[in-house]
Formats: sequence, structure tokens, C-alpha cells
Amino acid sequence: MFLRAVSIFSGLLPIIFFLYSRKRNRERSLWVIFLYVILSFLTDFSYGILPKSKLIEFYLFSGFTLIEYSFFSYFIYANLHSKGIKRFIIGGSALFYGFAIFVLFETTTYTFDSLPATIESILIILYCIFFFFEELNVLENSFIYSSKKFWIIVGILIYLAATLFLFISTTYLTAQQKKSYWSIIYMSNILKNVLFSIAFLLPATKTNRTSMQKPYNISSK
Amino acid sequence: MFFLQVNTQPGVSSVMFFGTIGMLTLTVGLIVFIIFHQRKVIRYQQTLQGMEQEQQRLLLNASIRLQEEERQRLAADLHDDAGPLLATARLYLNENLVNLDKTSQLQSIYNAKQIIDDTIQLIRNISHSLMPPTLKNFGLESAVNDLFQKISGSGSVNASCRFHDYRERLKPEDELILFRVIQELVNNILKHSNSSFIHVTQNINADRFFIRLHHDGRGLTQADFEKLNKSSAGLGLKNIQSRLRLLDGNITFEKDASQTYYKVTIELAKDRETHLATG
Repeated sequence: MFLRAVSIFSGLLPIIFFLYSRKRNRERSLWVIFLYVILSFLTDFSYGILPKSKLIEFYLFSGFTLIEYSFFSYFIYANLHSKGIKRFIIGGSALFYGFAIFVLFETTTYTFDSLPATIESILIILYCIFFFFEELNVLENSFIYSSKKFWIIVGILIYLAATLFLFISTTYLTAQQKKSYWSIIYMSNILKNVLFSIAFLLPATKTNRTSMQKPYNISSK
Repeated sequence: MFFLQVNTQPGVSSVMFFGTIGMLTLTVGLIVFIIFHQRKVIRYQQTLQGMEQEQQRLLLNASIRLQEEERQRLAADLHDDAGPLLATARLYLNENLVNLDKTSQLQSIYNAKQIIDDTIQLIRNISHSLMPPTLKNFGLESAVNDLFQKISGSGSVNASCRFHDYRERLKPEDELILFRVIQELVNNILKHSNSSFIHVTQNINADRFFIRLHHDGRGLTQADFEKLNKSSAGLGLKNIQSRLRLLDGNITFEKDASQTYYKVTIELAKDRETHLATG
């Protein structure tokens, strides 16, 4: 119960830090994450106060999965440069939305949306890896950990990596087990919020992106 | 471990537990790898930039020193040669000239005229050394030919050149830079190599403009060139390099496979402006 409360209210941290240093966070993609943090906080909070009903839980979680995927994928999409990877994200998103909406309308059990959440996690983890792959090939003049997007991607990646197996196996768990295992989500949510807060607090950096320089050549420049 | 204790289905629990631990380990590993890799790349890049800056500094120093040397040479030529000549001419044409007899007057005027002619020739030579008229009027091929004829005329070195594909002249400023580079290379060969022949060829291959210079004396290899470039010595070579940078060009020094002569290759983009715009 305590961990759950900490997890819910840790959502206020990035909101406060974003508003406190909003001059540093003018990028549109950061506003998307800010919006996500607000929605995440509201969802967690409303889950605690809404009446316990399978139907409400199902629509709340399913809706949140869709929103979470949209915000995360937009953030990564906005920070990528490779057209190929961007096309992959568009294709992946089309498949994901199709599948998630299909599950939303066709379900009869109204249990936790394990499959869409798993697919969401796998896709976003893949996008994060693509993002890092691009960062390795494109040289910036500052260290990667001094950029806001790095900390946000790390937050997303750790949160989704920690919860992936829980989402996969949630269908097979009893209510008692779910209650115990849900602490993984709470802990990863706290960690994600802390990492997002770090990102919002970091000073805005202007980076010069250049492709990797060729080996030193004395002949001509 | 408490996850394992509460679970009545050990299969699912193990998969979830080890899966989560595995995913987190992989994620943290990936993040740590990226941070360290990027730090390594940035440090490498900074080292390269440092080397590049040092190279630029050496080139700038060389360029300034050469400019100063050129100015000193010009000043010395004007002061030591043109100055005394004009002073002598002035002596012949002094106020006392009107008091001299007609023959002496004519002799003085003739001598003054001779000295002024010499001065004109001297100034022309200085001017030609600054900008060869053959280069300006007839292009690089003629200027190099002219230079080589003068060298061959001395009888100690056989200098020849052959331009295979020079129907379209380079831009005048590019020709001048290239001519200066060739001049510097030839000067170096004459001063240091003790060679008996110098042969220059020009051709174009796949939109690249090549000048190749062969000689049979003691020459430089690419390693020697790079070593000299990084040291404070080798002023002329730094000057060559800084000139070629202006043309976006490349120079390589090598010993021929037959080990009998040295080869210097200058390579430029044929249409430099087009090349720069598209490259």
C-alpha cells in the first residue's frame, strides 16, 4: 500500500520539476512527456479512487496502454533522424493500434490487457534500441548523458524492461499474486519518474550533430 | 525472493522473475555500454581535433613566416638593387650636368638611361617573380614549360613536362596556387635531392586532376612528409599543404616500385566548385 502511494505520488515529481524549469523544457517532445506524466498520474490516482469494477479497470488500462504507446512512440519518433527507422515506427504503430483496438472491442473477459501491453513494451523497447543505435552512429559534441532525451529514453526503457515479463505472465497470475507482483510496476514507475525528473531538471543543450568523422587525414580538409 | 515465496505456480514465477532480472540486466548493460562507448568516441574525436588544431597552427605559422620572408626578400631586392641603381642614375643627372660640355652631357645621359633600363628590368624581374606573366597570359602549362626551360638551360638538371589533357584551363587563382606548389617542389628537388632529371606530367582521370612529378634524386616518402608536417621544420612543405587545402587538394609522396625514382602526386577535383557544392 505504501509502495503504491509512493509510486502514485512520485508522478508529481516530474510535473513539479517540469513546471519549475519550464524555460529549459521548451521542446515539443518534452511537452509530450510532460503530458504523459500528467495522464499517468491521473490514471494511477483515479484507479485508486474509482469503484472496483472489471469493466472500468479494463477500459482504464487499455486506454492507458494506447496513450502510453502514443506518447512514447511520438517522443522517440521526434528524436530520430533516420527515415528508415521512422518508417518502421509508423508501420509498427499501425499494427499496434489495429491490434489494440481489435482487442478493446472484441474482448469478452475484460481482464488486464496483457497482450497489447506486452506488444507495446516490445515495440517501444525496440524503438529505444534503434534510438541508441542512431546515437552511436551520429556523433554529438556533448556527452550523451547531458541530454534530456537520453534520461527520458532510459526511464522509458527501464520501466518497460522491468514490466515486460509481468505483462506477459499477468494472465496466468491469481489476484493475490498480481497484488504482490504489482510492486515491480510501482518500483519501475518510481524509477521512471525520478529519471524523467532528472531529464526535466537538466539544462537545455544545443548540440551539433555530425556524422562520425573520417580518420585523421593530413592531406586536405 | 518474496516473489518466489508467494507464488503457487513456480514455472510462471521463475519465468517472470528471471525474465525481469534478465531484461533489467540487459537494459542496464546496454545503457552502460552506450555511455562508455560514446565517451570513448568523444575522447577520440577530441584528440583528433587537438591534432587538427596543432596542424592548423603549424600551417599558419609557416604561412606567416613565408610571407615575412617574401616581404624581406622584396625589401632587400628593392633596397639593395633598385635603390643604389636609382641613386647612381640621380648622380649622373645632377644639377652640374648643365655646366658640362656636350659630350660629357651625352655620356652622362646615356649612362643614366642604361641604369634606368637596368632598374626597369630589375623591377620587372621582381614583378615576374610575384606573378609570372606567362602564367597569367598563357596558363599553367606554358608557365611550367617556361620554368623548366630555364632549369634545363643551366645544364645541370634535365627538366621536362608534358600536359596530356589541359584543353580547359583551371581558374587563374587555382593555376597560380598550383604553379607555386610545383615551383616549391621543384625548388626542394634542386636544393636537396641532387637529381639529374625532373619530369612533370598532367592528366585527368575520372573527374580528378593529377599532376605527377618524378625525379631520380633523394626524395621524400609519405612518412617523411607527415613527420616533417608535424614538426616545426619543413616550412616549404607546410606551405604546399596550406596552398593545397585552398584547392581542396591532396598530395602524396612515394618511392616508385622500381626504387629508382621518387614520385609526388598532386590530386585535385577537376571542377572544384561543382565538387564542393555537391560534396
